[in-house]
Amino acid sequence: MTPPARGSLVACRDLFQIYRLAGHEVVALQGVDLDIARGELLALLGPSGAGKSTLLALVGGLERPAAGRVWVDGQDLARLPEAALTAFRRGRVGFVLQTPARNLLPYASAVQNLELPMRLAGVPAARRRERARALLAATGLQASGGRSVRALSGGEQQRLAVAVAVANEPPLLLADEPTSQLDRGNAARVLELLRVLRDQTGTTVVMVTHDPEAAEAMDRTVSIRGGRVGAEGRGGVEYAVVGPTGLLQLPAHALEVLPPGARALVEVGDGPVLLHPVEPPDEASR
Amino acid sequence: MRTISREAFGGLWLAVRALVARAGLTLALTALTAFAVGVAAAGAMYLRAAGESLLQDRLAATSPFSAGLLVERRVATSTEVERLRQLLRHDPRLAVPALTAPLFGLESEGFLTYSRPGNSDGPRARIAAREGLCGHLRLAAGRCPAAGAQDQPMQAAVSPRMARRLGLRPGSRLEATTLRGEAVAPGLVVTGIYEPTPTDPWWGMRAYFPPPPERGGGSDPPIDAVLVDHTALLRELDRSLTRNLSVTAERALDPGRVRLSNATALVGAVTQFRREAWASAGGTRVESRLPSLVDQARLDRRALTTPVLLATVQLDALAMLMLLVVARMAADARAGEIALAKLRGASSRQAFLLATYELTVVTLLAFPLGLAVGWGGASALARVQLRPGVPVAVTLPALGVAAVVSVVALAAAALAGTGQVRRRVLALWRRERPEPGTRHGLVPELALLAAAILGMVSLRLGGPRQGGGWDPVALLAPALAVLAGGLLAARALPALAGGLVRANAGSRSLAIYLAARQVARRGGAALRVVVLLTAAFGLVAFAVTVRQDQRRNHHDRAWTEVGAARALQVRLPPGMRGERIAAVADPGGRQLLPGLRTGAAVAFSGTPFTLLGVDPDRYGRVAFWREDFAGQPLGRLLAPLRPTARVPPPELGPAEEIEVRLAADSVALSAPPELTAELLGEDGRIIQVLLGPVRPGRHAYRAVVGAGGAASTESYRLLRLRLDESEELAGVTGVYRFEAVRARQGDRWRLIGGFDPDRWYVRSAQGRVLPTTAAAGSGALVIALHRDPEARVTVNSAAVPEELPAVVTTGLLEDTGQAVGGLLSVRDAQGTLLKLKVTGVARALPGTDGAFVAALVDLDGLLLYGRDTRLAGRAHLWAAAGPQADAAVGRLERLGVEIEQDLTAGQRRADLGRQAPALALLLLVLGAAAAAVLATGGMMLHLYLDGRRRRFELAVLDALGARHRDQWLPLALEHAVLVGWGVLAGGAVGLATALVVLPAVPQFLDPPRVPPALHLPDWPVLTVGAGLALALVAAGLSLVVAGLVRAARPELLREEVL
Ligand SMILES: Nc1ncnc2c1ncn2[C@@H]1O[C@H](COP(=O)(O)OP(=O)(O)OP(=O)(O)O)[C@@H](O)[C@H]1O
Ligand SMILES: [Mg+2]
Repeated sequence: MTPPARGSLVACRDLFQIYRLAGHEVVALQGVDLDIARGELLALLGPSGAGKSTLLALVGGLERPAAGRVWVDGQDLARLPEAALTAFRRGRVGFVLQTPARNLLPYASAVQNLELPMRLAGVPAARRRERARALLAATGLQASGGRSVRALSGGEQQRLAVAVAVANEPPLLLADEPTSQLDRGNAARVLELLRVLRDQTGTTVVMVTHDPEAAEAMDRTVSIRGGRVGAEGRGGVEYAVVGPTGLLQLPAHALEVLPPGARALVEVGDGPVLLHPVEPPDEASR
Repeated sequence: MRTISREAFGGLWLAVRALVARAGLTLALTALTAFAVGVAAAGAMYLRAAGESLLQDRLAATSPFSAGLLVERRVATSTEVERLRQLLRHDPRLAVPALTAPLFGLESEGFLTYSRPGNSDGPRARIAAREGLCGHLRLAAGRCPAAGAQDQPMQAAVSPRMARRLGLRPGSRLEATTLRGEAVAPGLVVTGIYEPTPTDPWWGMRAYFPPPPERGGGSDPPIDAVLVDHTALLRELDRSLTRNLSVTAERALDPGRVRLSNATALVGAVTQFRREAWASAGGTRVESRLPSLVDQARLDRRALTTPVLLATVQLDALAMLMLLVVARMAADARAGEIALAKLRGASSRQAFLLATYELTVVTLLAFPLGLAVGWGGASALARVQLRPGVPVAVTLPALGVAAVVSVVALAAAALAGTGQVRRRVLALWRRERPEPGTRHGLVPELALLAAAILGMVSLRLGGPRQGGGWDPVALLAPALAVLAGGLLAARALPALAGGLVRANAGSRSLAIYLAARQVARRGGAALRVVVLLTAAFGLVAFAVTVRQDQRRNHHDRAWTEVGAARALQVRLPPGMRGERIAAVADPGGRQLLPGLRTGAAVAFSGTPFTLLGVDPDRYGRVAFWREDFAGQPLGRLLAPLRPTARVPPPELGPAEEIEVRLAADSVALSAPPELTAELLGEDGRIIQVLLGPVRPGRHAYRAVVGAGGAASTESYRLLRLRLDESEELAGVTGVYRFEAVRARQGDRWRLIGGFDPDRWYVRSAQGRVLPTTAAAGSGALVIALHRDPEARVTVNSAAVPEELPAVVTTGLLEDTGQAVGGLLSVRDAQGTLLKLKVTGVARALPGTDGAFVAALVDLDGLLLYGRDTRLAGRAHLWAAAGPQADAAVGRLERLGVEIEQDLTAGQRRADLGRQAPALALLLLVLGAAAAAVLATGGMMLHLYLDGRRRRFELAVLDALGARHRDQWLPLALEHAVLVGWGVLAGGAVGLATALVVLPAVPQFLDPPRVPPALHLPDWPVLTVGAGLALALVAAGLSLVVAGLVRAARPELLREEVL
């Protein structure tokens, strides 16, 4: 297994995650290979149930993979002892969960929510207050600091959740659809916040989104499909990614011509690689 | 340091916010913890108060003076008296708290003889003085005696009896002489006639007013004391004429100042006092009943400890169980926060602290609250059950127990929380949990079941245990059984519901199908709450059944011991007999039952038993009776007792003197037997007239009948003649020929009759028939005793039955090994031998004061053997319940009957209700009821929390346009099944447990031997109780369901779950 390259902060190698339910097993990830560079802004795309949230949980140290490895900042999360994993979550990552409400203590005020991770990390009170004020300003919640979370709108809750996630200035921010409930203006504001964070503190951001505009604002996009990395996009161009066993996922528009189960002839030329859809002879006769 | 405290404070603040946010859960948690703390504290506080109450009961049952201290000393001079006064008043070593200042008195050691001047004969009585006499003397005439002048006659108050005997009026002169014949110098002058007030506690332990003497007794007993002024008597002391004076100092106990806490010190002080008083003035008698009273109170309290502990332990076990369940519910509710904290990198320790903060706050809140609740409960209970005014204090043990329970509660709740801390972050959100009913959970449940069964079996086999010592099995078996029953019921529920689903699969009733399906699918939390509910209601049903059982048995016991609604001991007007006066006051024979209760003994074994003589007809109507006492109806049982027509014993008429003609031969001259006649007086008493030693030859033996030689108007009957061996115990031998009896009235002698062998029979002391020969035609009876000397020979009137038909208790039959139809030789209180012919058996005989060994005979028959002389002038009477009976008692009083003792079955029952087991059971019932209410509350809370999650489901239905009924009916049905199952299964389990255990739980029942306890469930009370419980639960449920349905609006779907 290839160890992570020097410049990358996150490296996933052949990641598998399997959920056991009462009757059957769900393979949520099946062999994900992914490298994320320091200071990169990465968008994770993909249809519902593709395994995006699962990938974030593994990278954030919330779960351990069924197989494969995750390195973050040189630490092999799969082998990290529980206490170290806790310390990792406290200091090394910020997490915005997909369900907005879960990110916050409902009965506490916005400021108290902001202070909770800092309190856990033992940040002195004065520094905490100062930092909380700055974060509220950055998310446009200056006026709502004392209000209970219940009294905030869904969008305000989401912005607050992002602010809470970065309170301890983690080198890695994992955000699961942080702009799902935001209008365009506020979504832009959150994206701006992430960009500023990266620029000022070099934070690496991994963001799951279904919003093409938000994805465009990122340095790179990675599509997950069926628990695998399907495609990658940079600067508005989408690339197919060849998987560890030579597996290739076709971009969505190619699937119209080559639907799942279709046969194709692969023709490797000097430049492009061509796929010719064909009818296998004995198959057709049957 | 500052930051740490600020941290802690910040955490606390968060915890408080969280608690407020989950007000319902917080309330439940706090209430449960407070309940657990309260029950434990209440147990301790109540125990103390009840002990205090028992002590006060003991103290109140004795007069303040007899509970206090008596100092008595013989003195010869007033200086000695003064010395003792100084000592008692001022010596600090003799100070005893809780005793009043001493009340001094003087009295003659022996009796003086009083007479009118110039006449040396008269009654004997004490002369006595008491400080503050005039404040307490009730005068019928004249005034209270004063100190008077030195040389004047001493002023005195005398009783009406003395006044009547000597013809005294205020102003009359009186002389008093000591036994040695010395006269009290200038004599006495009567200033007043007083009414004896023997019931006034002020007289303390002085017996100045003896009851009227019996008539017919030869001697002239002393009568009411002559009361004089204290200073005057002291002066007389120095005049050396009445040297034999005792000084008394009585200190009454102030019961209000005696507490369990100072009782020991008080007893110590009294002991010390005795020693000191002895040391400083030898020959001083110091008496106090305080030590023995305090000892008894301590025993009472010890008897109370185990039952109260039993109740407390069971309640606290239940409270802990509830606490665990609710703590788990709270932990579930907290799962999101813990998950969030863990997401943010909180270490296990931090997450744990976060969880514990809340519990700590709850515990801190619950501790004072629990103490207050416990205090309130104990106080309320004390007000109902204990002596009025007994304080309920928050004692140190109560605080300690409460603290221990708090800590345990905290630990239990924290334990429930640790599971959360250890689980993975995402699992917490998904509320994943191990499947219920895994084998892992089955092991402790099976162990519990086994322990419960074992406990019950060992209880049953062990039978009632006497003594009420520590018995861990008895202590816990019922609670274990109820809990195990709850577990079984909860496990059975989903299976039953599953069956219902299958049965209803094809039916059109959607509601039932949906509800049953939901119940069948229910997992851990719901079933845990069902267990709780079952256990709580099981404990209630158990406690109520046992208590009702105990109450009914107390009722039967009280009525059996008292005999009827009311038992009276009365003093009769002179010459009156109880049965006669009862016939006057209650001619119908339905309200009053006269009777004679006396001690007797089995002649062969000496076993003492109670002999009750009553009119069988009145007994059947007035006395308490329970069907199971005898195998046949009461009427048939008593029928053989009714007297058959009898020849009455020979009537002497109003005789003053009696004469018996007797010819004796071969009598031991050195030790002749004594001849005595036994006469039956009009008032039913037997009068013994000593006719003197038998001399050889034919003689007429004469003796005066009646007291004082005054002309008698009373009529007598001759019951029997007796020959007793002399004091040398030589036995009675020789040949005796009884010829005739004569009686004298005025100057006339009248022949009463001869000794016709048909109308007389002769018995030895052992009841053996002695052979007689009739001297033909002469009406004389000859007894020849040659070989075996007899201790006593009686010549009995044939009217005195040889054997009395009797209904006896099983106990008496067992003791004598007799059977129905057999004969029992017994001796009555006078030692007279009588034979009882057993005509029936009863397991208990009401009116015999709860005697296990007793016999019931016809009163008239018994009276021919004589009345207990201790009962002279008195009678036992029983009265039925109701206003008519009260009116009959009122008529009795108007006829001059004085009620000396009035005992009602109601009072007796109340007394039993105030004994230890009853008190503890009440505690258990009330505690279990409170626990059931709390468990119901917990269930409601669970349903509500669970329902809140399901609100979305309802909201979806609503948004889809489902009819209102289709929304709430399945929900209501589902909840009703869960709760109703818990209540009903609990009730059944509790009832079954009670029925299995009832005859065997010693601490609960203190089974009396008489009457045998009956164990039957009290269906009406149980039904009403179940109805009440179901109503309470239904009310709570409708609130929950209504709240949920109202909250399930379609707008809800737009909100986030918070
Ligand atoms: N705890 C779980 N138990 C069982 N299956 C799970 C669990 N969590 C996720 N899955 C399954 O794993 C797969 C991937 O889930 P994941 O939540 O990662 O999808 P996602 O890409 O985040 O989808 P979405 O865009 O809808 O959030 C899905 O098929 C989901 O059903
Ligand atoms: Mg997702």
